[in-house]
Amino acid sequence: MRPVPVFGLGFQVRASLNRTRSPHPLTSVVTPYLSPEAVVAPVGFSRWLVPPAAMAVHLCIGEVYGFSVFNEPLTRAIGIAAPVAGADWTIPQVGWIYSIALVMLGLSAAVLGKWVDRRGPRCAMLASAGCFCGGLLLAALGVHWHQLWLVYLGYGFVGGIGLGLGYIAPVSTLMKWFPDRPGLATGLAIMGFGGGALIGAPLGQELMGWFRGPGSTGVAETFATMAAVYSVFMGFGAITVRVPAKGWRPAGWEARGLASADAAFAVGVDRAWRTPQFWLLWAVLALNVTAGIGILGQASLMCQDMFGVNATVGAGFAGLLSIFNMGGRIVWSSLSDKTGRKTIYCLYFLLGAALYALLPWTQRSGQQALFVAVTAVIISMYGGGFATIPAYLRDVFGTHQVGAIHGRLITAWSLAALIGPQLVNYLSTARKAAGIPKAEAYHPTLYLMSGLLILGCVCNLLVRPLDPRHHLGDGGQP
Amino acid sequence: MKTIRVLVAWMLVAIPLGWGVTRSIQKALPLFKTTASSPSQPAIKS
Repeated sequence: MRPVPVFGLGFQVRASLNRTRSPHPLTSVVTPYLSPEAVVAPVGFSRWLVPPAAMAVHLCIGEVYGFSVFNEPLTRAIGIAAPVAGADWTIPQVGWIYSIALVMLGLSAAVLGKWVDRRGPRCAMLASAGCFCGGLLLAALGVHWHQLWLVYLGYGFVGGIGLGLGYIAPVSTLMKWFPDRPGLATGLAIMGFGGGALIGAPLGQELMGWFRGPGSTGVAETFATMAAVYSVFMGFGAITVRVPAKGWRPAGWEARGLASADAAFAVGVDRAWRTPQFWLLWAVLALNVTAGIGILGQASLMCQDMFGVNATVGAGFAGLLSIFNMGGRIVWSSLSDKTGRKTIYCLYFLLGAALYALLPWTQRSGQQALFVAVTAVIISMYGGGFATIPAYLRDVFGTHQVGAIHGRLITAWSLAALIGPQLVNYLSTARKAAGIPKAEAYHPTLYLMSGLLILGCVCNLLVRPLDPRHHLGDGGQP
Repeated sequence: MKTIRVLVAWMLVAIPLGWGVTRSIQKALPLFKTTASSPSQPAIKS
């Protein structure tokens, strides 16, 4: 048979082109499974399978909040029983692992948000599992070989990308499944992230106790075991998740107003982040997080300094706040479906500001139980702020690229995570150094947090519905 | 069958989360066994 020239090219060139087009056998199996079309739910699929799928991922990646249990054991990886000066890592060096992971969370969510929306939740969740669990394995090798750069690369850089991908992957999917209760939907997923520390921290301690021996602190083995366990859980989430078919809506529910699923309300991410509404919501999240994280990060020490309790009681206080941080995410976010997003944020900010201003009085009057109750409510609203923001974004920008928009907004969290604890640290340390009693050293910080929340309330009140000129319309171009 | 699948999925996430919450509550119990006292100002005696 005579070769047929194609547009003047010879047979060999054509054969070469054919070769490049033929897919690898593995690719032909895997790619369709990961495609957005493969994730569309079949008829009769229960939408109540999606929240546990999302929680499976968030409970795993939320482990980062419990990373502090590894700090001290990492500082004696060589000495095992006690740190060896000059050979072992120091606490400030180890502290960078957590900071790099959180910075990468924000950056990857911002940069990869559009990719997540395009590829769908299954692909994004599997990528998240690969990065997070792969990062844990790299960190395990880094600890085993005592190479700090490898731990930074593994847990911090690669694992941090897994955090960002996993954080935003299921959020927009859940809002599409629950257009009637978007606050509940996002609350369920983001509650998982808050709950991740409640599992990760004790699991880490149990495993380190199990693996600890004369030649090892057990950290490397714990990281490797956690990678295996978490990959199973995250895999379950990725396999289970589905997106609703186009035009699907819950039985008996009709879209109305800004909550409409209509494409006319959709706004692209590149347009959204140029609007004042995006930056006002960015400020709302940043101020809410700054105020909450400042107290959450220093909870144990603050309780010890203000009430003279011992470290065990202080740690118990921090654990209690973690429960309220998790619970607030589902309770307050669900409530926002009834009250509306702007109203609930006004409540977070105004009640939060009043409660912060009350804290110094609880210390002066020795009301420890009241102090615990007040901080628990404050932290529940901090968690609620995290969980409600995706639904707020959806109300303003629609569901079209809400995952990507949420990803860019998360940079506010990264910034606040750096500023909040520094504010508390700097002010309280400066006052202690000036000779002010430890118990009163935190008072100005608490009043400052109260002021930040009032500023957040102003930003929230300035959020107005988006001008229709930003909407995509039927053309689909931002 | 669909209900069982949903139940199993929820249990898969609820069991580890319940374990974590229980552990945290156990850890927080000493907080409620401590007598309130302020280091800068003694508690008011009745």
